[in-house]
Amino acid sequence: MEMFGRNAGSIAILAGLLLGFFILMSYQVNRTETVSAVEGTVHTLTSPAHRAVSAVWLTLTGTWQRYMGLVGASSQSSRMRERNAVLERENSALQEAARENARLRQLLGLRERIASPSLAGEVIGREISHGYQGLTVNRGSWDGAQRDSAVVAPNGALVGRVVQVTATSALVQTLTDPESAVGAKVVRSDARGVVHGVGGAILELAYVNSLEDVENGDLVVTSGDDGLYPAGIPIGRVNRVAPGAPVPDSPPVPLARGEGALFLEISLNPLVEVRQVDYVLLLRPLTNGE
Amino acid sequence: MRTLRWSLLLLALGLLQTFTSVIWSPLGYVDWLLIAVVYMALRGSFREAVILGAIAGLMQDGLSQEIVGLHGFAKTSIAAVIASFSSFLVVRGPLPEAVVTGLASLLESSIVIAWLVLLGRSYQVTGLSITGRAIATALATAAVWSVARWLHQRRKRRSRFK
Repeated sequence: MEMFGRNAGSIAILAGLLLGFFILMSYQVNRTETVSAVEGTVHTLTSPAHRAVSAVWLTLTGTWQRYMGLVGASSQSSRMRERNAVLERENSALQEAARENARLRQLLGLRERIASPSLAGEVIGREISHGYQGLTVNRGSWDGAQRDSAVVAPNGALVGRVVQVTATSALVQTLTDPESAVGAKVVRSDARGVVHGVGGAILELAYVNSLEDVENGDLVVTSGDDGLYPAGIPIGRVNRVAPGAPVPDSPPVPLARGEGALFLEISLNPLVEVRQVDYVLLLRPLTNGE
Repeated sequence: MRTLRWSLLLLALGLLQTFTSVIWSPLGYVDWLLIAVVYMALRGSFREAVILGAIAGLMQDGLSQEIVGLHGFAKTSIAAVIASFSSFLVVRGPLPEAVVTGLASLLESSIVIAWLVLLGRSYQVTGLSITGRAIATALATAAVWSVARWLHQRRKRRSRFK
């Protein structure tokens, strides 16, 4: 009782509030309006904050969803990039396999065309220095490779000659080696000479008489005169013909072609780029009488 | 200033009550306004508690589509009951206050249902939802007071070092 006595004012407030609520509720029971004045006031007071919070919330959730979408897209993009890299590698491997297949078919066709026995091999090493240009082939004496065998590319063009044979490999001196020399002839005119390297990618056909008929584009093949290479293996095409150095005591200029010079200066483009050869055929070396 | 602070707090809690369920549906069971009412009833004066209960209840009525005055009546009554007991029974700490808030939630639901029955209105609340609401509110109270206590102690430790 003492407590109630001390808080008579508070009790009065409580009673007033409860009575007010009771009247308010009773007032609403039989009314049809769905929105009362109190509801309206509360909504009016809270709606700006409601809208603000809602906007913030929607912004946050929207940002979050976009962020998650970006994360998902990034992850998917990463997976796609990885997949793409794998596919590119596979594609590259397939293309390489197709190229290798084509080269091997070409080699097989060439082997069938060539009458003499031959041995197919793969280039496993390349050595191109100032003084020497050579290839290493994965065929050695155990496989039947022999020294002085002519080496041809899958397209049938001459690559060089085997100069050294080990048990499991053979060293090939290429046509472009300055020390290399091959008896050759121009197919069209049968002009004969010697093809040798000059240190670069081109060849030189030397010792062709200046009276011979040689023109740009003429095909040059092995003549077989050297006893090393079988005749008829394509070597290259003439890309430049010039009169050679004049012979001492010859008539003064102007000189007609063939006048005053013993040999022509002839450059050849080889039919095969020896640095890019992957597979070769090793032909059986010529013996006396062949 | 104190009234303004409490009014803003109630407004924030009312908004919190309507939004938390969007984030995680079980949070919709928590009666944040009741937590504030119980807090004030346990610590403030009887008059303050009753007025705060009335305002909080009215706000809840305004935000819900129920009869206006229903939660006002219930929360005012609860504030009065707890404030009366708090004069001779001191309740402090997350767990006791959580129990009191849970009981207050059960009492509020009982009062609301009783009024709805008396007014001839239908209601769609089950014992499970009432219990769930009481437990969720109690747990939220324990969590809020635990965090508040931790923050208070941290601040105290920092001020001691200064």
